[in-house]
Amino acid sequence: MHRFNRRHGVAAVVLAVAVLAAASLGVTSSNVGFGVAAAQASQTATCKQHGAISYGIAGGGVPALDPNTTSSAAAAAMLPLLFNGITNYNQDGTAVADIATKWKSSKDLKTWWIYLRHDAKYANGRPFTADDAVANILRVLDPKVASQAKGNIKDIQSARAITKYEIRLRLGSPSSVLPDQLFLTKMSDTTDIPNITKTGNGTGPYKVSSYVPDQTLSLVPNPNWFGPKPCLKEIGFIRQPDPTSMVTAFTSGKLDMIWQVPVSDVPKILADKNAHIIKPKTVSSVQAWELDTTSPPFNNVLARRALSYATDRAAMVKVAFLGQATPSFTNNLINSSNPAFDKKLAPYTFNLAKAQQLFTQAGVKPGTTFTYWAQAGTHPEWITMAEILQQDLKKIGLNLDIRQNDISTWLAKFFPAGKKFPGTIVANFLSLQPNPLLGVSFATSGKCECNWNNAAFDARLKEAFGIGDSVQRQAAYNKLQAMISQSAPVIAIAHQTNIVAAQNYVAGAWEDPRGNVHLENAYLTR
Amino acid sequence: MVLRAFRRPSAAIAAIFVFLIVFGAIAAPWIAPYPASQFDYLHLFGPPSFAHPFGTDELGRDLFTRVLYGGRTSLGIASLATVIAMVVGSIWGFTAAFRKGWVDDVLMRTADLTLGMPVILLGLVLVAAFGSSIFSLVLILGILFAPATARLARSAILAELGSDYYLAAISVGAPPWRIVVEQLLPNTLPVLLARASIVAADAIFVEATLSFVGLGVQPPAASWGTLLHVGYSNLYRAYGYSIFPGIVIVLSVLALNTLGDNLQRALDPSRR
Amino acid sequence: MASYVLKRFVTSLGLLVLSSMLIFFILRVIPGDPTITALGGAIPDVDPRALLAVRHELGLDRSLEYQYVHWISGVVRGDFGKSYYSQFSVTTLIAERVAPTLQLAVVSLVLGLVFAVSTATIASIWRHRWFDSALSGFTAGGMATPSFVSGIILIIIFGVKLNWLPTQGYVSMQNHPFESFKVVLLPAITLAIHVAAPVLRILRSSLDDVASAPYIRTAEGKGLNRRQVVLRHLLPNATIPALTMVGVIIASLLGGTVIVEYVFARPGLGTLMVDAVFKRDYEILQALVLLAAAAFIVSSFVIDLLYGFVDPRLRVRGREA
Repeated sequence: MHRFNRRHGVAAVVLAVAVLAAASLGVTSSNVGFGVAAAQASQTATCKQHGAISYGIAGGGVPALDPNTTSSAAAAAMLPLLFNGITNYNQDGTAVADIATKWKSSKDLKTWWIYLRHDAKYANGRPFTADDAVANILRVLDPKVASQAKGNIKDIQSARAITKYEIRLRLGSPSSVLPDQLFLTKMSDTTDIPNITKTGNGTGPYKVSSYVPDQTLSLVPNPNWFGPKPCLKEIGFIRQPDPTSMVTAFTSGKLDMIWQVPVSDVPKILADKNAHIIKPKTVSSVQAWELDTTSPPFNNVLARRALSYATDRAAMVKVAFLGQATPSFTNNLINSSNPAFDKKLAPYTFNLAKAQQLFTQAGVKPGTTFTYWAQAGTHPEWITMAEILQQDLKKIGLNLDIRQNDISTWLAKFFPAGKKFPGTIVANFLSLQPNPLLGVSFATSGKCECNWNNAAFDARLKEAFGIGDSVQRQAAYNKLQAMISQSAPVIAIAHQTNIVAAQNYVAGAWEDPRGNVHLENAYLTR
Repeated sequence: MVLRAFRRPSAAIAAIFVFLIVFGAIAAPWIAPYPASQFDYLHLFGPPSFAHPFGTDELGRDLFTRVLYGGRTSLGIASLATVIAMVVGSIWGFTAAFRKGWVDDVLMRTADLTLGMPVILLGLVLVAAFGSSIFSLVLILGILFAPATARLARSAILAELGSDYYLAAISVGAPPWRIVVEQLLPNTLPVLLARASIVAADAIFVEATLSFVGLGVQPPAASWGTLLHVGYSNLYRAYGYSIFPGIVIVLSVLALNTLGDNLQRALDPSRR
Repeated sequence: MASYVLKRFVTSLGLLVLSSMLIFFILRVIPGDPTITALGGAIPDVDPRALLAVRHELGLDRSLEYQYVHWISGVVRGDFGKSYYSQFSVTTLIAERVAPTLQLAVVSLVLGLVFAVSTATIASIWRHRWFDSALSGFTAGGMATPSFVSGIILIIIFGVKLNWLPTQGYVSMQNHPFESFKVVLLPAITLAIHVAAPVLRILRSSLDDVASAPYIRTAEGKGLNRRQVVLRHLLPNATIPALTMVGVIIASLLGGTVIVEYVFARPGLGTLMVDAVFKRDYEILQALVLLAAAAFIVSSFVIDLLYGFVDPRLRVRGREA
């Protein structure tokens, strides 16, 4: 399938070294970056552009086209197609260069220089330069702009364009993983801010051909794309009313790919033999329950630990996820298959007697009622888990009141951080980043809706960012994981991510650890 | 006169069916083959079998039991909502009929307006405001169906107000409240009661629709609507899961509608 | 007559204002708001200060009265605001979704009415028992099945098993009229059942009523055959009571399109509204409710006039409920 020439060969070797290094260290090398776009290296150099993919997304379409202020998970599937970041993720969850070519940092890890491609152009023909990169970074950092990418790069003190294709970033404290942190900041077209949610003008392999918000989004190849020509004539995102009708449309051949397939429909899709399931190589997103650690009873760590002991993770994975998830017995936000996972942590084996003991010690009397706060019409696993918990808690004299709400009511209860929700267990799906540091930084003060606000953890984390040595860094990871595991500000149930299904004639699509599907290299075999 | 309604075979069958589901709902704790919340992790999504006539659900619970208890919830909500709708609607309609003039106009136009708004929209907004506990669902459904009842109550009363016995009572000098209680109410009650059956059917209908978008009663309670909803999301795991609640809903609404129709026809000569 | 029209106009305007106020305040009272939903949809976090800045920019931190006045003054000028999510103007969003909903409503209405009138007429001419009971069975069944149930059944039978028709989406009539009709057919049939059933019921019962009237016997005595009697005398007189249903039908049509569009993934006003409720996209929802109220008020007014026009007996006093 691959037409190798010398350039590709060198790139492949370099990439292999980088990946091996990353796998053994758990993180990319700190001082010198390798700037090969891994995603493109595995693609055919030329392909006949033909065919279209109809891509079904259930429960909500793409609400807006500004990559830096949209928070919809469905929109995340289209980001790599329209926009590039300075970096992007490859299949192993390591950051590789996207619109950058390479980068380097100072010895103290506080100053970084990033070199950008010379041949990147926006879909409307305008050339991409360092000024655009700086403009996007500054816009994300702007306190008046509500961007999800801000948390990752909050520490950038200054961003300047040094030459036409080089930028310099200065950080407040050292960070060895800046390339990973930059992944969320996409290079949008900042020259037309009022229309930025409507136009979707980016430098990526595809561009917008038609868009009805929340309903349909059609993409066609971008002639100005700097990489190899995309192999599809069109990609259409079509919003589906619900997961079952999405699976119905897929199994009857009306859709080519579908996203967020419910676990209970996987057997049917596999039985049809015309389709296959796409899973990421490693999963970083986690099914968790958020607790408010500043209001009773979960302000008492014993109560939180009690809840963790009362959670029958094995049963939940078996019944709610039909076995298609990895239980997190040690209440760790990091997946047990991640190299950085601390194997020495003590697990919370399901033990109702112990849970009752801890609850009593925490002052939770029998007859107390907790509220389980879930979203209606989506994630049926959340409800099945809740019913298991409900029965288990009943056995030790506690009640669980299950509440499903529409998405706005659900969110308003606990978001943004700082709200009080006593006695409430909020079901949530945390799409954590694959880099362990960025993954656990979910628990940082002011970030986590659990209001953990643990200064020791924050300090440790900040310190860990600056560590260059791999052994020391692993020790730091272990410390951070232990803190989260023992204090249980959130209850981590299992690692699981969006299941994607594709017809067998669709090839070249892959899913990253956060659950976003990448179609940049997708092509049809028929 | 009521018995006339049951002369047609369809009406008789409908009445029997309504009796059956009401009986099933009331007697559920005694006639259900399994306890309501008995999980069975070894038999998730089981097909219909001798042990489980309707199959089992996502936690291994017996579906037939769930449907029985679901009937308790659905019929319970529907009947309470109907009572609220009838009471509120009657007061609304009666007030409009008695007051006449601009009060009548405003009250009736407001009723018309709520009828014009899509029920699902009102339902969604009200559930967002009040939550979806059994109590708030009863209230919400009651509020949704009151306006239509108001219109019926008003026309029923207006018909009575034009009758001779009423004019006679007025000319004799009887106090208004006495006329209402002793003469008007007994004459309008049958029409309203016949209507109640149809309102109950509608309540089951709307409750099923709200449950379909996930805003029905909360677990571990279940209604036919929530069972249909969960069954539909697991359509490819267990076909029976959505078929049985679906059939029960359709048949119940059918029976209640037929019953109500026949009662109305029998009791309200002007509406033939 | 003129004073009646004026009175109706004034009360209608008042009702419109009232409903605008109602939806406006209810939306702001229920939990959740667009900024939270827009920004909280995925992890990671959003800086609470940024959230405040966005709310301020959208005017959501002002008093309710100020916000209402601001919105209403925009409406009067024809500016219905923008979606909080996509920033598209509400008029653009509604405009691009009117066609699918309108097409669905019109096709359903036509299909339903044609079916109801023709079958009722045929039943009246034939007078066969089995046809009659089949029809009443259909009527009762059609009214007892929620539209999402019948929609899903139709999708599975005609869309999946037989694969005759598409089950989702919308194709504009302008470029591909045949394809457009294929796409609207299944949803229209689903909705048409709910239109046809009540019309059929009323028609059949009023046909029965009229059938025993003396002038019908006269017509039969004159020597007209059954078909001529039905078409020339029965039907025209039987449709008058059916007109009372038209208002209810239009209302249920407007409401029914919401569910049917949802089930068939049709990009119309119905799905726009459901989304707006879930995401608390205030501007869209307020505009849609105003639109629905206005449509209903206008249509009920027109129907009242029509009714008075068709049946001279009712012109003396205003229409009763």
